Amino acid sequence: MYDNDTENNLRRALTEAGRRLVQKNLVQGTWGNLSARLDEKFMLATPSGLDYTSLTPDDMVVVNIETLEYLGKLKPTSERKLHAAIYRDRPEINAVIHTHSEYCSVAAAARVEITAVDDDMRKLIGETARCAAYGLPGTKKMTKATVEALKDRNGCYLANHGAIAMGTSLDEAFAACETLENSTKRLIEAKL
Amino acid sequence: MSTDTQINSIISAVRRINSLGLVGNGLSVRQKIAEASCLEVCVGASGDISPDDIKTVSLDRPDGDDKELRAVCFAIFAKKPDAAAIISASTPYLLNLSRINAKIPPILDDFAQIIGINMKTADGASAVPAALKGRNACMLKDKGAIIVGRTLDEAVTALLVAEKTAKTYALASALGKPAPISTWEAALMNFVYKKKYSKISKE
Repeated sequence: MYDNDTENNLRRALTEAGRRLVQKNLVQGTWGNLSARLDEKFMLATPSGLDYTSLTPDDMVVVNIETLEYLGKLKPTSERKLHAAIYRDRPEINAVIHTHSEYCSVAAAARVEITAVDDDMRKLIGETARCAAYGLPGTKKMTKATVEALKDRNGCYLANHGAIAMGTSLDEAFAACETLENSTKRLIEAKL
Repeated sequence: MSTDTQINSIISAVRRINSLGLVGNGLSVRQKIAEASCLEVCVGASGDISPDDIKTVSLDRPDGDDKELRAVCFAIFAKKPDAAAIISASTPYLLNLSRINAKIPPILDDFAQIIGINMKTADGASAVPAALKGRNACMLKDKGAIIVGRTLDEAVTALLVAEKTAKTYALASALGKPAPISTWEAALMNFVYKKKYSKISKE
């Protein structure tokens, strides 16, 4: 069972990570979402429909990974099902970030699998970044396809949607997001 | 909302567009303030704006510079009762796609949600209302894009999404053929966004 210090630290870290996602142009507006594992049963997730620049640590929502029930008045991200499924499937993962970043969106729209173009991508994502089959946002179909595309990987594209990356810590998940975007950009530019 | 507040919201919107690098060759913003009038500003490529640049214009007198485009914007306000703001922009990718009469398919979920099932190019200002039917945006041949929002904030977000999708459409061709979402799934997402998830701020 997690303690108050762990929860408060993660609340602050998620708030800060959300702002950094906006600064680095990895998300726009209220799109995208983040979560961090509190323990084997609970995760902390960003709320639905709020701008990252106005988020406070108190806005983060505690969600049960098994039941998806949540505490408090704010509704968690509509992609909580996807985050929870990843934590259930991958016990070593402690943070998940879903972005709508520019170049990952290109790969997602083309529905391609991309081979790692550098050591950073190999280390943080894997040998390739797959593209999960298309499913409407928030649906079981999308969740299942994403978990499948993430086998032996720490990141993938979501067809016609964006990208998802994860890590054993929030910092590692953030680095994976940046790496996936930068490596995808490099590959696209090389093909132009 | 007072006119002063609306002027401030236009200045904030233009500054946001400028900070996102979406002023392009220049843009115009129109925000409806009553049944028969709107606030209007034309911004150059520098993106500079001051309160004095924003004029109140009558919707039944579409005269002055760029009379044809102004008449189209006024017609949109008249035909789309929920249209509260219109942005006319010439961002790089939308401008280029408008030059080749492109039709952008629904290749991203956020595009389907906020714009609609596709984004057509109108061949002349008079064809804009038809190209906008059931959509929040269209392109105008050789001019760029016409973006409509139920709020000014929604129009700015739609502009951001439209330019991002135009760029995605162009670049995805380098990786292979872009694979669009089915029309019914795009229409469903647009419906859900409009009815359930969009949070219209009281501007």
